[in-house]
Amino acid sequence: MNQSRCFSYSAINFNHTSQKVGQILNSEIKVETELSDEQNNIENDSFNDYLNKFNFKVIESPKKNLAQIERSFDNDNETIKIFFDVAQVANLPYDAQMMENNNPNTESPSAMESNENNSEPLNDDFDSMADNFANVKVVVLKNKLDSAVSFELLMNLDEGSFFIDSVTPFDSIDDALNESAEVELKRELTYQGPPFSNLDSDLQDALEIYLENRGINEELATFIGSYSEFKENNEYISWLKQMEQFFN
Amino acid sequence: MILLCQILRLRLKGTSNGLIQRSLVALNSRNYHCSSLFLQEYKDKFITGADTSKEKKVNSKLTQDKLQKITHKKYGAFTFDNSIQKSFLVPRVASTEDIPSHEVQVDGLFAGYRPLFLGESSIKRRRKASPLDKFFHSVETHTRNRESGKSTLGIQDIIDNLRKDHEEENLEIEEHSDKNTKVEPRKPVIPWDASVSGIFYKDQSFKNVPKHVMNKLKPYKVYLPVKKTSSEPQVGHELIVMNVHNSKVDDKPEMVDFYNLKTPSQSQFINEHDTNRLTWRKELIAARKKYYEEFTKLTYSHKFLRNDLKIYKNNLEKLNRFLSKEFYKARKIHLSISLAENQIPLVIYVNNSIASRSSFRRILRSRIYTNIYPILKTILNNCPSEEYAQIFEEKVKFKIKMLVYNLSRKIPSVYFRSSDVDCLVEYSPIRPFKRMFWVSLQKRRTIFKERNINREYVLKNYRNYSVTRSSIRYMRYPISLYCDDFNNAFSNWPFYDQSFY
Repeated sequence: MNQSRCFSYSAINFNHTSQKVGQILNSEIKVETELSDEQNNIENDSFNDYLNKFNFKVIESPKKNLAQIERSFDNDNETIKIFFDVAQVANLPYDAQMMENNNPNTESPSAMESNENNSEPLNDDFDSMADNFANVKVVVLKNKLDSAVSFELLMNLDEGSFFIDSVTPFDSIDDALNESAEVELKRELTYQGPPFSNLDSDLQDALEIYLENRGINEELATFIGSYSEFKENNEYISWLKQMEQFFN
Repeated sequence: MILLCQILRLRLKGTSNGLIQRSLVALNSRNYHCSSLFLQEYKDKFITGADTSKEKKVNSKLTQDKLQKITHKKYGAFTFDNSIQKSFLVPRVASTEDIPSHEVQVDGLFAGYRPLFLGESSIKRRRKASPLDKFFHSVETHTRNRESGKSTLGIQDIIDNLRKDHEEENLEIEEHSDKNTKVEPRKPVIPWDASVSGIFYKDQSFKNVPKHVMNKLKPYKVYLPVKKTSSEPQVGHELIVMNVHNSKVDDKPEMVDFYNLKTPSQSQFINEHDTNRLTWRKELIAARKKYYEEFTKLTYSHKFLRNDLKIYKNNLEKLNRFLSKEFYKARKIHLSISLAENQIPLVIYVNNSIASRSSFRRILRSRIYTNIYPILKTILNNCPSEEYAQIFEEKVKFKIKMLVYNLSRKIPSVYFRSSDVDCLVEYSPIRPFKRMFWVSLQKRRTIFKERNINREYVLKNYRNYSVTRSSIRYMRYPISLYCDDFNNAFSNWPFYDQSFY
């Protein structure tokens, strides 16, 4: 008795789900790039004003949360570098009413309605926002002397105010900026000076004026806010593209 | 400063004392706030003639360099070295040059215990020299010139001068008569000798006041703000501007940089950048003024701050009294030294650590030195010998050291504690900035120093491993802090329940 056994085989199509993800990503990219071109132009204008006014330039840092701008003057003898974390700013709690009050040109109907009902701003909402801060680091480099001073700041984005926490001088530019773990540890162990509020008020005034003269002002706070939003959006698009490459 | 240099140059060239005195008067009248001590000392040494022999020697021997060195050594702040840029803001007082002497009025003065209103009393016009005076002046000029071997006496010249002056006077009288101008008779001026003592002055208001009561009255009372009973200081309305002088004098307060004075000719060439800078500077001064007003208001609003300030002032006044006595010995001038800054740094009420106490001591030392520096320098310069000066300086240093030590033990009387607040926030006079005083030090450490521990961030100490850029760690979330301002925090704080240190 010869009995034939049947064996059938069909390959499981795993690519099907992957392609689905790819397709969604593709459409997402299309929508984002089309919309973001217009949006980018508007946002570019808002933060380019600050860059042009104080001669700062953005140091591109793709795929990184850390943003950096820098400015050189005095025949390139002095350089100021400002670092801030885009994710930190972007994760600030969003208060629609406050944002609309800050930006009167973009007034939504709901906001207009609420303004009609209550012309005075809600102070409680402002206070809840005022307690959120972001880290900003300012490093001033003296290129010829090969020395640097670093200012650790906290920024209140809602008020546009800065709080200096500490000021640390470094022996060399490398000590202040090098990214290696070794130098990082060295920085960690360096005496970072007394807390800023412990210093004599005249010295506090002088250091604040020094920074204010170098462009650390309310306009920088506005710049950080708008640039963070811009960079976060750009990073999102590049993330989509990278994802799309993987899934296709 | 330019005038000061000119005076020194004049002195070197052997110019007459009269010219130097005029320069000094100009220096005073321009209100450059040049140290009166310096002027006084300079007058004493070079003008009054008390030290004439020394003056001659100085005139003949001193070169400009030597004088510069001496000035630099004696008056540290008056340096000729332009490389050292200093800045010191002082209030500007308006110039009175544009007011003619006959318009200067004295509306109110203090005579004894009460204000004395003199109405239209004015400074007398300069008496015109009589022909006889002019004659003697010509002779005197000739005599002076003859000593220097320059001139010859000409009687005809003197007669011509007198005649010329007489003709000019006649011309003036004719001009007045042409214009039919009448010189109004001045109102009688109440004589000073009748009012200085204040007892014999016939004043209706004080007519029925007994003599013994008037004798006991004093012109001023010592102002002790710490003893005020009201909780809030009296702050004048910002729109009310007190005008002491007439409309020609600008009484608005303005701060000028003592080390960077601009002459009127320089100020004509202020460019746009300078104008912006000037506006910025004015804003800064206004912000500083507001800041200190707020600070003062806060101090007088809370009892423990008031008490600490009282301790601080009393201790400093002891040192000032000691220096005043020494200054009197040296210069025979009574001196009342006021405290330049009556503020205790608020950080010491919040941060109870060795570091904050050290900072407080440093701030105290710096303030005390700044306050007494000019007086101390003058006393040291007038010491009979260098050894004595050194001993005295050491003595003052020791006093300051003890003062700082005592103050840092007594102040603060209480520390602020709160579990509801992470930090206290204070306004800064510099606009985009504010100041943060950490109540919760643990929170600060988490944010700035050891944030990777709470964020489960592992530091891999490989040589080539890139940890961060410029020591900013990736903080994906904003920092939430419970903040409050000092006034609110202190008002809601039951500090009497806390343990006093």
